[in-house]
Amino acid sequence: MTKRDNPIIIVRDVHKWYGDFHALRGISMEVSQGEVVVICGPSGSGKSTFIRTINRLEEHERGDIIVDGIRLTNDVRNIAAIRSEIGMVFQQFNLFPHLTVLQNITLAPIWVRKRPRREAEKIAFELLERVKIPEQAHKYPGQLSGGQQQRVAIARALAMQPKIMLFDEPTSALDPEMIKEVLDVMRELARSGLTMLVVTHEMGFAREVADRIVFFDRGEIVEENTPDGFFHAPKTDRAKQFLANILSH
Amino acid sequence: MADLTQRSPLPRLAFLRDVRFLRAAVQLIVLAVVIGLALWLINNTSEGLARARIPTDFSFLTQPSGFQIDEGLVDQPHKRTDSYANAFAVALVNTLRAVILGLILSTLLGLFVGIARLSTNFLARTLALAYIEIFQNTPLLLQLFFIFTSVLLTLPRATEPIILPGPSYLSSSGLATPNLIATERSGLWLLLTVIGIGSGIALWRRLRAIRLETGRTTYAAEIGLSVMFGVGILAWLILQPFTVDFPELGRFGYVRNKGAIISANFVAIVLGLVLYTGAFIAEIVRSGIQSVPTGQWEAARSQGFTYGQILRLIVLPQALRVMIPPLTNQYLNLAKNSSLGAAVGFAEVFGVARTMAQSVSVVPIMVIVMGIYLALSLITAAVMNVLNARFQIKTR
Amino acid sequence: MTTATAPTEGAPASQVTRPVIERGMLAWLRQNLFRTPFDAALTIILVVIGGSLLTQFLEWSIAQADWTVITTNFRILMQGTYPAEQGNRLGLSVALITLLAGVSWGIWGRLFRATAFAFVGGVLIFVFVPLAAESLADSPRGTFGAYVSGQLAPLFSLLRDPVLLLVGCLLIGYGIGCFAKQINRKRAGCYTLIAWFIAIPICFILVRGFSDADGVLPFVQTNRWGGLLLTFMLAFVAIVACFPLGILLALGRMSGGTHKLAFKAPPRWWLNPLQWLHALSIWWRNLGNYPIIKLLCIIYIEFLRGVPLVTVFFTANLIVPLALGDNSIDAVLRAMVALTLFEAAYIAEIVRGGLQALPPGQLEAAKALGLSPMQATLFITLPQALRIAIPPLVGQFITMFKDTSLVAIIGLTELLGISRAVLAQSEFIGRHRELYVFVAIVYFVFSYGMSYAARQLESSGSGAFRKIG
Repeated sequence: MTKRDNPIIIVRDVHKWYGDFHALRGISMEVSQGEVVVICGPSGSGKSTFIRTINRLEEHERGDIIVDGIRLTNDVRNIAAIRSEIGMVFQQFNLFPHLTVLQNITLAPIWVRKRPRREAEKIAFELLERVKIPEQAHKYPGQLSGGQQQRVAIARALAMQPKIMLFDEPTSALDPEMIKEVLDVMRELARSGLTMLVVTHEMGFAREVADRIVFFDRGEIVEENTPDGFFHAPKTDRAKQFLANILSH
Repeated sequence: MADLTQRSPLPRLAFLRDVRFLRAAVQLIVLAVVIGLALWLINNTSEGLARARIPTDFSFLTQPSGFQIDEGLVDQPHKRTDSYANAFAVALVNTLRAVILGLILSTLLGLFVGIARLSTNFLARTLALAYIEIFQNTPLLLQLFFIFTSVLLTLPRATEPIILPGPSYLSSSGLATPNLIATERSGLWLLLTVIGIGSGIALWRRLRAIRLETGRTTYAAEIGLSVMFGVGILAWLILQPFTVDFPELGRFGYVRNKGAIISANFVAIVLGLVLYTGAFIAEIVRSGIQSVPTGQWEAARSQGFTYGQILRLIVLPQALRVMIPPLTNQYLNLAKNSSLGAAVGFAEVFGVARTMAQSVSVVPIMVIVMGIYLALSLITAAVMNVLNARFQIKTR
Repeated sequence: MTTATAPTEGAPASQVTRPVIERGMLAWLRQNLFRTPFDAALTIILVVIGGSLLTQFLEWSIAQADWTVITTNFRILMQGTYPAEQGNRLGLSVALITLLAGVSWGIWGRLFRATAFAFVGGVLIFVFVPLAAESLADSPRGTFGAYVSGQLAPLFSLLRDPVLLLVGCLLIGYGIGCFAKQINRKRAGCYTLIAWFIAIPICFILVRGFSDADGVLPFVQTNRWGGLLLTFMLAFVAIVACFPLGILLALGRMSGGTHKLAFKAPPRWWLNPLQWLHALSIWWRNLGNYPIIKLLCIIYIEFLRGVPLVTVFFTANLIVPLALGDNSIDAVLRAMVALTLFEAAYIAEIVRGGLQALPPGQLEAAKALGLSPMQATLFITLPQALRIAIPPLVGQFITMFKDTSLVAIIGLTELLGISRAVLAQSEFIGRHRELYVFVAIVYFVFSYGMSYAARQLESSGSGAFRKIG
C-alpha cells in the first residue's frame, strides 16, 4: 500500500475570483496522508490563496474541498472541525505579542479544545523541546529573534495536534542565518510522518524533503512532479523558465 | 479515487449552522432589538409631547418671530416681523462668518506657534509651550467668559471710545471702522482686479518656466507680483470705486448705519475660537514637522538652503500630509464650538434657537439646528477629504 | 634636526581648555537666545513683551485683586449646596480616587526627582504661607505684606487641607504601587484595573447615599450637587459608561469583510439606472459580513460627531424624561446620559483607529487556531487595539472633563456654572477676573495631571509588549 492510497485532502476543480480577477482556475489535486507537498511558483500565481482556501481563511467559489472526509462548505461545524485538524504557520509569524510564548501555545488548547491548563502546559513544553527552545517559555515574542518566533509559531500550530500542517512561505521573512533552524524543524516534522503542504522558495529544502512538487503559475497547476523529475527534467516550458530564474543566482 | 461522503451526522440541520445564515440571523436580531427600542422611545416621547400640548410641526417657520437680531452682514438683518425661517438664515450667516474667519485665523496662529515651538530660541519655545498648555487645558467656555467679561467689557463705553487710526473706535460695544460702500464702478474694479491677478499669475509662471528652461534671469516674481497688484491699485486710483462711510459717535454710542460695526460679541467668539483651536493646531503642526525625518533637514542644509526655504519647500509639504486628518478634526471642532457664541450673546444658530425655544416648541427647532450643524460638518469633512486625497504621496 | 612641526603651537592637547564662551551658562545663552542677530532681536522683544505682561499681572494680582471672593465661597465652589456636615464622605471619595491614582502611577509610571521636589515644595508653600502671614498681619494696605496676610494666607490655609490630602494619598498610593510592582507586576496591574472599575460606583454611592436622614449614608439629592463635585461626578460616570459603549460601536463598525470590490465606472455611468444598481450592490457587498449592524453604528457615530455637545444637552434635557416616560428624572442624570451617548461616538472612532492599526495577521492566526470570533476579539484584537489607542483615549477623557463645563447651558451648576452664580451676587460683582483665574487653575491642574499621566503611559508601554511580525 503506497502513500497515495489514502488521500487526506481532495481538491476538485476549485475556482476563486477577486472581483474580476480569476485567482484560482480549476485547481485539482490530492494529498495523501503523510505526504509532504511543496508548492512553488512565481509571486501572484495563487499559491498562498490556494492553501488559505483549505482552512477557510479564503472562501473558494466553485469546486470541492474535502479534508479527512469532511466537505468544506459554509457549515460552521464543518469549518470548525476542519480547522481543528489543520495547523497553519504564516510568513509573518503572527504570534500574539501581548502573551508569553507559553501562553501563545496554550491559548487554543485551553479555550478551543477545553483542555485543563496543566495538560496544555505539559504538551506546550514538549513541543518547545521539539522545536529546541524550551528556555524561552516565559519570554514575550518581542524578545525573541525571528527564527525563534517562527519556531514558536510552529509549536503553537502543533499544540492542536493537527493531522495536516500548512506552511505559507515560513522562511521568507527571516534573516538568512535563521532560515536553517526553521528548516531543520520542518525536516524533522516531515520525517515524523506529518502531512505537510509547504509554499516556499527554498529549493534545497524541497529537493531533500518533498515527496512531490506542485508548480503553480497564474492560478493553475502547471506541473506536478517528483523533486528529482522537477529539478532535473521539468516537463513544461514555464517550469523551465521559473527554475532558470530561481537557480541562476 | 474513493468517493468520500460527508461525515457530519445531521445534514438536515446544516442550514442552521451555515455561516451566512448565522450572520443574517444575528443582524436581524440586533435590528429587531434596535427598532423595538427606538419605537418604544419614540412612542413615549410623542405621547409625552402630546400630553404637554407641545406641537411638533414646522409650520411656525413662516410666522413672524417676535424678536430681532442686530448682528449680521447688513444692519438689522432680522426684524420682529420677519419670519422664523429668516431668523434661521440670519443666524446661519452669522455662524458662517465666525467659523470662516475663525478657521483662517486659527490656522495662521497655529502654524506660527507650532513653528515657534521648534525654534532654537529658548524664549520663543517656552512662550509657545506656555500658550499651548494653558489654552489646551482650560475649557473653551471659560476662556470665552474670561475674554468677554475681563477684556472686552472693560473697554471704555461707546460714548468715549479708544480712538484708533481710521478713524476707528474701540469700545465695549465693539469696533467701529470706516466702511467701504460699493458704487456702480465697483463691479468694474473687481473685474479688472481679478483679470490683473490672473494675468499676473500666468505671467509669473511663464517667466519662471522660461528661467528654468533657459537659465536667463527673468525677474519672474517681481514682474508677476507687480502686475498682480498693480492693475488693481491702478484701477482703484483711476476709478475710485468705493466711497468711504465713516463711523460716527452719537449720544448713546455708535450711530447706526454709519461705518462698519463689529460687535464685541463677534470679536469675543472669534477670538475665543482662534485662541483655543490655535493651541491644538499648533501641536498638530509641531508633530507634523517633527514627523519629517531629520535626514531631510540635513540633506537640505548641506545644499545650502536657508531655514525658511527648508520649511517652505521641503518640510512643510511633507508635514502637510500627516497633518491633514487631525487638522480636519480641529476644523470640525471649531465649527461645532461656534455654538458657544450663545454664551457671549452672539446671534449664531444655537443662540437664536434658544431664543426661539421660549415661544416655539423645542423639538422642530432642535431638528433644524442639528440638521444645520450636521450639514456643516459633512461639507467641511468632504472638502478636507478631497484635500487629503490630493496630498497623499504616490506609491507604487 | 627639526622634524615636521607639531600641528599646533603652544600647549600640548591635554592642557588646552575649552574657550569660556563654549562653556556653561554663557554657552547656553548663546545657543538658545542669541544665536543669530535675528534671534537676539527676537529675544529682546519677547523679554520686553513677556516682562510687561508679567509685571501687569503681578501688579493687578497684588494691588487690585480681591481674592476673598474665592475664600468666602470656597465651599460652594467645591461642592455646591451639598450639606456641609456630610463633607467627610466627599473627602473619603477624593482620598479613594487619589489613592488609586497613586497606585496606578506606582505600577505604570515613574516618579522623577523633579516632580517629587515640585510636590514637596508645593505642600510646603501651602503650609508655611499661612504661618508666615501671622507675622505680616499688620502690614499697610496695598503692599506685598498685606497681600500675603490678607489675601493669600486665608486662601492657602483653606487649600492646605485638600492639598495635603491629595498629595498625601497620591504619594502613599505611589508607594503601595511600587511595592506591589516588585511582587507581581501583571497581577498588580489587573487588580488595580478592577479596583478602578469598582471605585467609581463606590464613590457614586458614597456621594449620593441611600438611606434616610438618620441612617448611615443619608441620601443627598443630585440637585444639591454642585461645583467641582458635580464636575467630577459627571466626568467620571460618563467616562466609565461611554467606554464599553464606544468599544461595542467600534466593533460593530469594524465588522466588515476584508476584500474591497472596486467599482469600475464606464463613461457617463450615471445615466444608466442599471449602473446605479450595480454601484449600489458593490457598496452593499463592501459593507462586509454584517452590513446592517455596520450601518447602524455608522449612523449613530456620524450623527453624534456632527452636532455640537450643547445641542445634545439641550435636546436630552427635554427628550430623556419624555422618552423614558418618567418626568422625575433629575437633571444631573439627564446630563450624564447625554454626555455618555455623545462621547461614546468619539471613543468608538478612537478604538476603531486602534483596531485598524493592528496587523491583519493577528486575526488570521486566531482564526487558524480555531478560536471563535468572540474569543479572538476578546483575547487577541481588543487588548492590542486598546493598548495602541491609550494616548488618544486619555486625550478624549481630558476633553470630556472640560466638556462638563457646558452643562451650564441646561442650568446645572458645576464649577463654571456655579462661579457665574457666585459672581451674580451683589457683593462680588466685578470680581470675575479673580474667580475665573482660580477656576482656570483648577481645570489646568487636573487636565495637565491627566495628560502627564498619559505621556508616562505612552513611554512606558507596559514593558514587555513590543510590536512584532
